[in-house]
Amino acid sequence: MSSRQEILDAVRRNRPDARPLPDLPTGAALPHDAVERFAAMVREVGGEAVITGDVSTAIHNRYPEARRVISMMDGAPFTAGSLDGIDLVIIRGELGVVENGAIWVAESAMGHRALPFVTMHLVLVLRATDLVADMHGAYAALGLERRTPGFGVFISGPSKTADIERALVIGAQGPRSLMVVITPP
Amino acid sequence: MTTHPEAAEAFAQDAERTAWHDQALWFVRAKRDQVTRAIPEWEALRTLASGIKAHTLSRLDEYLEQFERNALANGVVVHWAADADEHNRIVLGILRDRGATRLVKSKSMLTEECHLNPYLEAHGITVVDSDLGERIVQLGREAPSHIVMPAIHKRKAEVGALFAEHFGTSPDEDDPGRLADAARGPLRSALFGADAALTGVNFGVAETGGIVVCTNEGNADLGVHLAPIHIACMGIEKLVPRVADLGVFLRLLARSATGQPITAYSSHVVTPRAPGQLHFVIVDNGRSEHLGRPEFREALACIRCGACLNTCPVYRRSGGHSYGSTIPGPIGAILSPGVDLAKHASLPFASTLCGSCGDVCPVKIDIPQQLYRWRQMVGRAGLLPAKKRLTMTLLGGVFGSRAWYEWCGRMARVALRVVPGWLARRTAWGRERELPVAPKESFREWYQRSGRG
Repeated sequence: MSSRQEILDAVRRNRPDARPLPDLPTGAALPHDAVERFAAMVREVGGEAVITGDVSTAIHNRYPEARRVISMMDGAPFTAGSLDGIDLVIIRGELGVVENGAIWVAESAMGHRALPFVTMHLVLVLRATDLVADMHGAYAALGLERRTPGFGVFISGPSKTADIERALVIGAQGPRSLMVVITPP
Repeated sequence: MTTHPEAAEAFAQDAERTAWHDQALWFVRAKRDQVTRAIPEWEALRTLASGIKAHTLSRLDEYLEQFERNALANGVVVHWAADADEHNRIVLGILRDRGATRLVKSKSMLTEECHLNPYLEAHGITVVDSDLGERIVQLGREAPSHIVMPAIHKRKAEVGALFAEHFGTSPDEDDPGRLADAARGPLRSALFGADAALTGVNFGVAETGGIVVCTNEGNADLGVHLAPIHIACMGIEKLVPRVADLGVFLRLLARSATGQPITAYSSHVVTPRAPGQLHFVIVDNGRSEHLGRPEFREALACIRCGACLNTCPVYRRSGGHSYGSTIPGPIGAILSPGVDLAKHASLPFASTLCGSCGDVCPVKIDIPQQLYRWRQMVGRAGLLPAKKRLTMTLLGGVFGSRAWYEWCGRMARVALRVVPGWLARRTAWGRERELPVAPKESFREWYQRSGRG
């Protein structure tokens, strides 16, 4: 008998009596100061947040030194050569979560799944209208059970580690900084 | 086999390290308290998570089949492993099929449990653990001592010495920032040069056939999006029914683990990256058997956050390695006896039964109750040390007879006054304790004398 069948049989034999599947909360209402709270949470998790309609100026002011810059804002696929040695990647975020500063980025917005991770610095551009209060609201809004992207990720702050004596180090193997540009409606 | 008390004693020889370890973990526990209080519905979330896990375990075979069906439809190759050996053979087989010799791994306690690294290395595969903490213990040829902070037992100077040897940093460099920076280059090189990437799985979603991997460093993503092969190894208990269930668990996981509101990256992998391959290895290795133990099965709800380790007064002062099992701390002390009772007979006793682990558990596993039950099992299996067995028999007699109990109480009050402390300190119980001051009379005597009886 295959291991698959063996495992499934053993699980069926040993499983407890049926327990109900609980209903999920729909998520809290968006607070009136959602944008400010979200920006504060982005900073708390080690990122930077600016609220401005002038995206390119904000990015240029923050990263004047960046030489190899890849912008995915127009939704074209990534074809620009090596994934190593990228200074800055700019991607549109789909949804921001006020409670934890996380931003959902789907594969279609990345151009290449590795881009948000290989770059030295990452900029996520998010509309102020694309905010939800918490993770329940995020999954309700994304509807991933209906249209599952091949890959998607919640990004909350830059890459970080505290593996040496619990000392927080920003920029482990991934991006050393994350700037979130929130564009007002 | 070294028992927990023996190994803990060795760890505690270094008083300065023990104090630091204790404080460092308590700090994480305090951060956890802070962020959980920010959520008014925290307790309701725990109840919800516990309910979702209980339901999933009660229908686990159906959810496993649904997960597999959806994963296959997504173009994933699904493998089933009955035990650690089969898991290791499957992983090696996938690598050999593609001629892959350089593997990068992100954190996976399951592969630790299966001892995958030495197996692969013995078969000519170069394995690099890409999580910084995992890399530190790998270079030190040690096992992780904590499920979230693998190198928490190491001081920065020791890490510095290790990096001097492997990354050419200055031998007296001990700044965590500069050390992490020194590891960044070699780790990124390994990630960019890998033939295959292996990850663990935090959650498998039956509804979509996808998996979720949570990291702070981004190392799991760097591995799997750069290498042509992604192998994800998952214990059968990691499933949740619906993708929306993740909303509950992602709110609980990082807050409980490190005091962060969420990990930096919560990656949802559903299909292979064109032109790559995605393999899921679904592993039993004793889990289905554990599901058949009604008194202990709820431990399978564990989401490996490590909160019970951070709060445990015994773990904090004895270190993860003293448990002699892949999963240390309170959760390890109730999972490991199910794997090998004789080998891990001392673990259920590595506890004060203070109950703190149960209080912080995000999925409400009643760890203290299970520790207590495992102690019964150890006793029934005749695995108690002779000294403890004798003591327990004697005490059982004392507590079983009122006259005997009262007489012993009187004797003890006398003994406390006349027996010197150094004698008491020669016993296992008295070694770390100051003897209490003997009361003049027992509570019962006082109660009757004061006319309340």
